[in-house]
Amino acid sequence: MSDFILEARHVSYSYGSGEEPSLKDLSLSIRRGSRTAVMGSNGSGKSTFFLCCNGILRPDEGQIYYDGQPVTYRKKELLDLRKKVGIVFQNPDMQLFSASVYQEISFGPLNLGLSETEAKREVEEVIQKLGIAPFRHRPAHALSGGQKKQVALADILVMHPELLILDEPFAALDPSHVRIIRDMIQSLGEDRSMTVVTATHDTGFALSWADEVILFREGQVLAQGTPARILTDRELLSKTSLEVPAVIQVFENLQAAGILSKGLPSPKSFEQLNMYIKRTAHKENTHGT
Amino acid sequence: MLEIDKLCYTSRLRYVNAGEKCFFSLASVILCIVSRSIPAALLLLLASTYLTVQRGGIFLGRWLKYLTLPLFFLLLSTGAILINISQVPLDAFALPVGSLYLTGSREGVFQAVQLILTALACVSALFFLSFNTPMTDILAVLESCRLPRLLIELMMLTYRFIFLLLENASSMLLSQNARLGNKDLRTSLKSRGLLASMLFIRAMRQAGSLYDAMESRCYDGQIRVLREHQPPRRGEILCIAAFELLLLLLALLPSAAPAGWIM
Repeated sequence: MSDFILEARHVSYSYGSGEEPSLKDLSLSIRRGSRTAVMGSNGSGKSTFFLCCNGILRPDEGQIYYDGQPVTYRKKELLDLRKKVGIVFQNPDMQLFSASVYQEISFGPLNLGLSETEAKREVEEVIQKLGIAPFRHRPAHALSGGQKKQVALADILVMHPELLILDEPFAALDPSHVRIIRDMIQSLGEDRSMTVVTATHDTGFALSWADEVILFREGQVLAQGTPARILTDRELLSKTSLEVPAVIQVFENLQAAGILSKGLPSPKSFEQLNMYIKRTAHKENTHGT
Repeated sequence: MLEIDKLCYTSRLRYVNAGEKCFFSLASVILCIVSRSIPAALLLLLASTYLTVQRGGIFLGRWLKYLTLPLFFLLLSTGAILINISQVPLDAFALPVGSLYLTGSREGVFQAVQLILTALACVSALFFLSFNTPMTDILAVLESCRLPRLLIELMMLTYRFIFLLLENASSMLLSQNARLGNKDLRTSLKSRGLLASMLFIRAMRQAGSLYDAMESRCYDGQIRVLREHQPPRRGEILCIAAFELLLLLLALLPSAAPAGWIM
């Protein structure tokens, strides 16, 4: 078993012969069991890259490696790859093909070759786990955007992929569904048995959730590294029109104002920042008296 | 059509076995059409109304509204059977117009009534089915009737796409209206043309993305899905059988126009 579940080496792809390539000599690697945030402005090639990951698109040049093995595009091996790589698409309306939630979710497991009873058990399990039960009997066209997203996620989770790719899972969701989906993603692969890749514009989420951040720009990897390094680098972020996470900005301001000491490692979340502040305030109180 | 689609998901009879509902509707329709019996038609009309309104919980007003739609067409088309233009008055009624008569025979009147009632009863039975059964359940019944898979899959995708297309179209129409795209005949014609062509392009693109998404889930050319099954109930089956038998008996009654049927 390779350390890297997925690698791309010098991958180029363009949608038409005369068109500007969407991926240009792109190379990256994703560690098994890691949580990776893929960031970059719209049209930077994230979605195109994802479609290369499960062989829907075949690179014009370069090679994709899954688990150290080069991806071949023979039919049987492609099916095998797609069992292991699950993609939750950005727009659920482009993913849900059936009007019935139950039928929709059962599509994947049956394609994996499960028997009807096994598939039924899996479908029921994921319906409970993702909180779909209250609207499972409604037709797809009567679901809200957030509910459709839950179903789209269930579609893929029910297949138990090794590598789960979420393409902008928070796009067009209301705050309550952002929370639901975010909590769901937080709980995914907590035991590191599943590798999760999320495309997102939310630097705060990436900071708190990811082990690794990859910045895309114009079909290339601009930078790859830990969130603490990438997401605090103003110059780097400005190249992809991203902003430093709010929690880092507040943290740096507090440091500059001398309220927090310079030596503290940058916080991953507001909870951690609050802990710093409480600890400092406590120290000062005990000094004062 | 969309209203019916919404209604069937809220009907209290939604979770009754779809096969039972389909059989009830189809068997009754066939019996009524074959026999053209007026008592059978009246019974079916009453039964569909009772089941949909009383048991299904659909408003009576709404049910009647939907039934009057076909009634309008029926009245128009039976006019031709009912009314003759003739030089001699016939036995049912006659209205002199100049040297001619607008006139009808008893046989004609009877035929018209028979036609209207039969057609209305059949429509009501089919309405009963569509007011109380979601499309996906009907597809499951068709599948168990061994309809070709390809047809079922096509119907399934078509049903889903109707709503995607409508959603797209109505949002585009809304944004055109918001930008005065329909301020006069000229602009509105142009806008509609644009809308139609954009809709086509979007539908193609959406179909492409959907195919990619299905391939990502190991689609191999055959759509396999689980069907949720509501088990048939013995009591319901017995009721339906008794009803169809009654309908058959009524259908077998002699159906000639009784003498003095109409003054």
